[in-house]
Order: sequence, then C-alpha cells, then structure tokens
Amino acid sequence: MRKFWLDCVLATAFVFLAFWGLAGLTKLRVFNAFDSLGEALSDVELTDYVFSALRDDPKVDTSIVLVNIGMLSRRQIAEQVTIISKYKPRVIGIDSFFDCRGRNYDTLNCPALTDELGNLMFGDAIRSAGNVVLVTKLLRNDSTLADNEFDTLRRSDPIFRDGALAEGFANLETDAAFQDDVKTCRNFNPVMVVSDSAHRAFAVELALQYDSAKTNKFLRRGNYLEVINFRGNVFDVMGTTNYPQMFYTLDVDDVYNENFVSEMIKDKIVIFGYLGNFLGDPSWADKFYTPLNRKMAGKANPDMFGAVVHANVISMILNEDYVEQMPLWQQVSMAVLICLLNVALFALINTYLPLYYDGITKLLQLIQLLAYSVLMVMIFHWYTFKLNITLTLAAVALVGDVYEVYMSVIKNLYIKILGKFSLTPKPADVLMSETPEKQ
Amino acid sequence: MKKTITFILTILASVALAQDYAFKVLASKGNNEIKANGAWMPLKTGASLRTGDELKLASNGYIGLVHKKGQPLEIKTPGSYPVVQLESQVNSGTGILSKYADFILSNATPEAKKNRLSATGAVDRGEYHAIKIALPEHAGIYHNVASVGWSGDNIKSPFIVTVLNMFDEELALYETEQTSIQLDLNDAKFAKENAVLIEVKSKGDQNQKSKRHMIKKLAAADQAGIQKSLTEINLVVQDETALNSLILASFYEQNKLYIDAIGAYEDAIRLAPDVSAYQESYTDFLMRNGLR
Repeated sequence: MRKFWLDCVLATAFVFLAFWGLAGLTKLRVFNAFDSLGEALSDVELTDYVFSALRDDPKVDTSIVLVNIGMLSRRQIAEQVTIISKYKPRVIGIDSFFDCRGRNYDTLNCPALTDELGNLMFGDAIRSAGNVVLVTKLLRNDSTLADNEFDTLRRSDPIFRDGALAEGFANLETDAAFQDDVKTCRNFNPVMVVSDSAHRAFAVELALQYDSAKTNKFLRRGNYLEVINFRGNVFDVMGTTNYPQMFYTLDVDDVYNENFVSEMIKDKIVIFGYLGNFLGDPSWADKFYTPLNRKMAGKANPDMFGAVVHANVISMILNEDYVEQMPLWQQVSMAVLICLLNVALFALINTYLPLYYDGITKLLQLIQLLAYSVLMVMIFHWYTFKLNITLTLAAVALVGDVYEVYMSVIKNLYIKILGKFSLTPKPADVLMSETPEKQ
Repeated sequence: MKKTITFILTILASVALAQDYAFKVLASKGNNEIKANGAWMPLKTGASLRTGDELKLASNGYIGLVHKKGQPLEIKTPGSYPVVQLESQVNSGTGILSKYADFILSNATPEAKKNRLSATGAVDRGEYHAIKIALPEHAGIYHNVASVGWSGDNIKSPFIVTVLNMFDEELALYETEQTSIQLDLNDAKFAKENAVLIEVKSKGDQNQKSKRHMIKKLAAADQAGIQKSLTEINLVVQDETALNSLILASFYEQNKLYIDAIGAYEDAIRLAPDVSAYQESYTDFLMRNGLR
C-alpha cells in the first residue's frame, strides 16, 4: 500500500513537471508566431463565462445615475452640474480630468484656459453643488519603483478641486500599457498608497459619501485587489454584453432639456462621464473589455465605458455583493489533490482493467472537466466565490497521457538504470547445498 | 386615535401608490412617447409606466426599462407597446443549470451564416444641409420673440419657413425673400406649445433645406429666475445703448439663451453700426457656440 501511494505521488509530481515544462516552452515564445489560439485565450479566465452568461440575472440598481458628458466643454459641463445639482443628488462624481495634462499652463499649450469665464463657471458650479468628487490618477515618476508603487497624483486644477468634496483615483487594474491600449478590467484596487498617504479609489470614495457604513465594511476586508462583481452595462445597443441596461442613464440633451423626472436624481449617486459622443455611439474611447463581454476570446469590441465600470464597483459595494476568490495556494493544493486521486484511480484501472485503460481514463477525464466547470458555476452562484480551477483542469487534462508516459517510459528507465548500477537486488544465487550423504 | 388611523392610512396609501407602477424608464433615446390617461406625451427618463399605459418607440430610438421587481427590459424595435404586453415579456429568470445547458448547446450550434460583405471601408458623415440656421439645435428662449437667420452656399430665395410642434404637426408656414424672420412665440398659433421646431427650405429647390432646430420656452420657474437677474442688471443698464446691449448679450449667453443673445447682439450692431468691435463680438459668439 505504501509503495502504491509512493508511486502515485511520484507520478503526480511527474504530471506537474510535464505541466511546468510545457508552460516553460510557451514562455520561450518559440511558437508564438503561430499561436493564434494562445493569443486569443491569453486574456480569458474561465469565470468570465460565469459573469457573461451563467449566473442569476442581477437586478437593476436604481441608486446610480450615469450622465453622458460627450464632448462638452467645461462651461457646458458646468451647466450640466448646475442642472443636476438642483435636484439634490446625494453625491456627484465627475469622471474626467480638468488640467493641462502636464503641459505649460498657458492658452497656447492648454486651449481650455482660453475660456476663462467657462472655467470660473465650472469651478463655481462644483463649489455650489458642495458634493462633487473628482478623479485623480496614480502616477510613477521614479522609474525604480515597483509596478504597484506610486509617488505622484495627477489632479484637476486647483480652481476645480478646491471646491470639490473629495477626490479618488480612477486607475483600474488592466494590462494596458497606456490609456488607449486594449484594456481588460476584472479587478480594482480599493486603496493605494502614494508617498505614504492612503488614497481611495474614485468608486470607493463615491460609495463612502453615499453610505459610509457599507463602504467601511467593504474596506475592512483589507484586500489589495478586489474582483468586480459586474452588474451590467448601459445603453449597450450593439449587444456586446448580456446585461445591456442596468443603471439610469441620461444623454447630454436629456440634461439640458431636463428630460427626466426629479425623483430619479434625488438622493442618488450621479456619475458624469464619457459615454460616447451620444448614447449609442460605437466609440472605443475610454472603453474596456469586461467579463460581461459576450465574445470571450479573439477579436471583439470593447464593451464598457470607464464610468460604467466605476458604477459597477459602487453597486457591488452598496449591495455587499463581494466576490471571494481562491488564493494561489488553494488553487495549487486542489490541483495536486485531484491529480493524485486521478493517478491512484488510473493506476488501479491499469492494474485491473488494462485492456480498457485508454477508454475509461479518457471518459473519466471528460466527465471531470464537465463536472468541475459545473462546480465552478454553482459555487459562484451559491457563494459568490470565484473558484479558479484552471490548474486543476490542466492537471486533469494531462494526467491520463502523462501517467502512461510515466509508467511505460520513466519507471522502466528508472528500473533499467538502477539495474545497470547493480543497485537493484538480483535474484538470490541458488545455493547448492551439500546433500548430506546417505549413511 | 383618529389621527393615528389617518396617519397609518396615509402611509399605506403612499406605499401603495409608490408601488403602483409596472416599469420605470432607465434610458430613452429618440422622440419616444407614452400614452397615459388617453393622451400622448413625450417620454421622460425616470418616468413610471402603469399597466394601462402604452409606449411608443420612435424610429432609431431606444428605451430601457426596469420592472418593479428589478428586471431590465429593452425595446429596440419601433412601434407601440401596451405596458401589459411588456409585463408579459419580463423574464422571471431560469435556473442556473438550465442556463448552463443552454450555454453549452448554443455554442454547439454553428453561428448563423453572415454576409461576408456586410461591412464597408467607408464612413458616413452628417446629412448635408444646404441651409444652416444660425441657432443651436436646441435653444431656450426668454423673450419669446426669436430672430431666426440662416445662410448657405448658393441658396436660392424665396424661402419657406415651417414651424412645427413636437409631434411634427405644422403650426405655421411663412414665405420670405430675406434670410431671416422674426417669430413671435406669443402668437396664438404657438401659445399652447412649450417648444417648436423650425425648418427652412428653398421654395425653388426642395433639396436646399435646413436641419430642424428646436426653440423651447422657458419653464415658469426658470422665467422667474431670469426675470429676477434681469431686474438687477437693468438697474445698471437702464439706457438702450450698444454697450448695454452687449452686456445683456453676455448675460443671455451665460444662461444659454442664445436666441435672446442673438437679439441683443443685433441690437448692439444696430445701435452702433460703425463700431466694428460689436460685429466682431457677435462673430466670436457665433463661432464659440458653433452657430457659424
């Protein structure tokens, strides 16, 4: 029995060695030029399927209103803020920067300064509203800092931020190298430290102003990174997601013409942000790929504007709909345990049903792949827990064939090598005992 | 005791009323309408729809609704929809396992054959309008007398100016050889309308026409606010001079009353035709607001 389990452990170790070798080969990127499948799948997580199509349909969140600022000037946004503020929202967030982007502070390099009256109007509108939260951006001037360390903040000009209630960083966790790069967003950082000072995310700041109790409960989780439990999109007329309209939305003209009812704004969170030049505009500016995208892999249209991503974060916090996820050590442990049990089972099949080994093991692998993916979906549905089973599925997919390689090649090679060096006990010499003479 | 009962009944009634809707409007795009109590009216975002109401989606429009139980519903196909019919479309949700089965099966069937030539490598640009009206597409008005001017390349008079209501019904038709017209919104023809649409066409060439522009009368509360501010300003700018007209123009512009601002600029130019600064200010105003 002990030998059996030792054998199983060694075979399991070999499966993971093979897995590591294959993973290493892919890192050499030797086949990358032809690896379109790998490229397409590199940005996919299995739980994206859950978010997109395999969970209970979330309900609309009516506590958040999104207002499109389109390509309005500061003066025009000031008018929007003034109009909306009349209807007494609880808090207003403006998902846009109002600065000179690091250029010289003159009208030549910063044309927005030309409209002095408009800037004054906007600053005044923010001050008069009294409940405006502006965005900041985490920056790294010192290139020796690690990827997750920042030392500077980009902020709007003092004329605007001095009248604001608060600021929050708008950075979202993606693989983008720059603002207009392809951006896939699944997670966000609730709090980041900049030069020894803690700063909250824009969405967290808005949630805090709306409901401090729930937000503080969320912050007490103390996670560096949180999975966004996406609720849905707005004005998704292109049908890129399965949840196309989950928040109140107003277009530019709707605000100017006050084409809405006042109850929709009162005591709500209002987020001003870019939602296209007009609602339904298929613009890609400030648009992210999210797990809600119907097209999982390959070339797809980005599906969600940044302001809507922030709305989803706020909705998650206020509805206390957090997503727990499996830490890495649990993922590895689960993969090792499942692999070990599979190896043990396959060893028994190999011993007692050798003729049917191939058929049975392939069938078992297929059943397990299906079962684990169902388990992933059900566990997310019951516990909002992100069961990351990628390693487990990879181990199950490899175990059948790799175990055969282990038994037929590795183990036999091992026995042969040991035999060559006379390390294996040879069969005992037949002792010719002296037959006692017959007396 | 009586007071307590009345109070409880009031609370119950308000709760009942609050829940007495089938849907609320999450988003609306286009000239969509709702029929409630027998009359059609423009649809507003956030409005409540009751079971007996009817919804009309305009062409190229979109309506997003939320059911009282929280499920969303989209309407993208133009037409009329009784709310009771929409209620029957609300999905009560399927179980997770059946969703999983649907998901597997839907991915197992091949995608519908696509037209490989359905996309072009060209863009669309805005519909060409030979005549450009010097007004924003949507403008509020305080004084109710609008000076509407227009221009264009090679446009031919006489011009036909059509005034319509929000339901595309013609309210008035004017013919003029000039490139401007004065519209008095206090006229009986327009008295009942909160907003009117204006369109200008060349009588001789039907292809020469303008976009439709909307002029909206200010709501009573906003009128009162503007009146109050104007009263304060008029204490300073009592005389009718070009400079005072310029100050008024700036005030109107700040309050987004572009039509009144145009009127004030024209007054300034009329009062001081030799002073080029007023003409330059007017040109800057038109360019700043995309009216030229």
